[in-house]
Amino acid sequence: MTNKEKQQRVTEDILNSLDNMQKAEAPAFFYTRLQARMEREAEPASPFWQWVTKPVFAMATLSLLILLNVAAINSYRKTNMQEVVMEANGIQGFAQEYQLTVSSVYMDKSNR
Amino acid sequence: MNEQALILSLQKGDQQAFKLLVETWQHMVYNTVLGIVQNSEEAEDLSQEVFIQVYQSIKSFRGEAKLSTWIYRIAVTKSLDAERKKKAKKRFAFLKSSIGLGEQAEEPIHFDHPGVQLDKKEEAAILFRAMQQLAENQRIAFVLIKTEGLSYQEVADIMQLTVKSVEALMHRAKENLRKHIHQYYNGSQ
Repeated sequence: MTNKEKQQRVTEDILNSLDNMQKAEAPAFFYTRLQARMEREAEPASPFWQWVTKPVFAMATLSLLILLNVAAINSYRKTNMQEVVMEANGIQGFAQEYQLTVSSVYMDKSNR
Repeated sequence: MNEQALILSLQKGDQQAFKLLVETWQHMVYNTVLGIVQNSEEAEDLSQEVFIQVYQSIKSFRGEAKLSTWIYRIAVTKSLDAERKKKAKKRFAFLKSSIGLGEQAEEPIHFDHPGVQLDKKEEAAILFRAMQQLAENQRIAFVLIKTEGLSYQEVADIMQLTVKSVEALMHRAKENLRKHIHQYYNGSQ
């Protein structure tokens, strides 16, 4: 028998390995377990979970979160802008007070 | 109780009729689901879901097909849904692992069907592994004919196809299985 023929025979043996097989049987007490599951699934959930799992609640929570995020971003932007303006004013004010402009430094030198 | 009377009792919500239905078809459902999902715990869980679905939708059953054909259809649909979910999960795990988030999905576990003869266990395990590579409709036809022992006509009724289409599916399934087994055999040597 050649190698190819041997391989073909093995393949056919594998392909026919389910011939004359027995059927698998459902586990014992299948109906009892099924009944228990059906009763469990039929039990109403607690009112709190019924309310929490409603799609309306999920949508409302999501909208609230988005609103809070938008408000937080806006508030952060405003504070940041004010700080930049204050910082700019502060440097200019400081320079004016001490006459640290280019011309004033030049004037000071020529007066000596 | 004949089938028509059983259906009428079920539609009225009779618990004894439901018990009779489960006890009559539990092995058929379990064996079909097990052949597709290849995991005993998952098969039991899905078989329960099949009967829950039967209980919930019996009122819409109009009797166009036999009750057993209808139950087979539910079993096949539930099993295929579970298989699709598993494949999607595996793809997601692979994606996560390829970008370095989490481990790669595990290789399919070696499946031992309890009904296979002892001296054919090893060969059957290779065949079940190869069956996972088949297209859905080829896999269903192969499982129903080989593990449930149904006729081509019964499979055609369940899959809502002609007998000729089922024959073609079986032919293609066998050809593809030969290829996969050949690859497995060459790969392991």
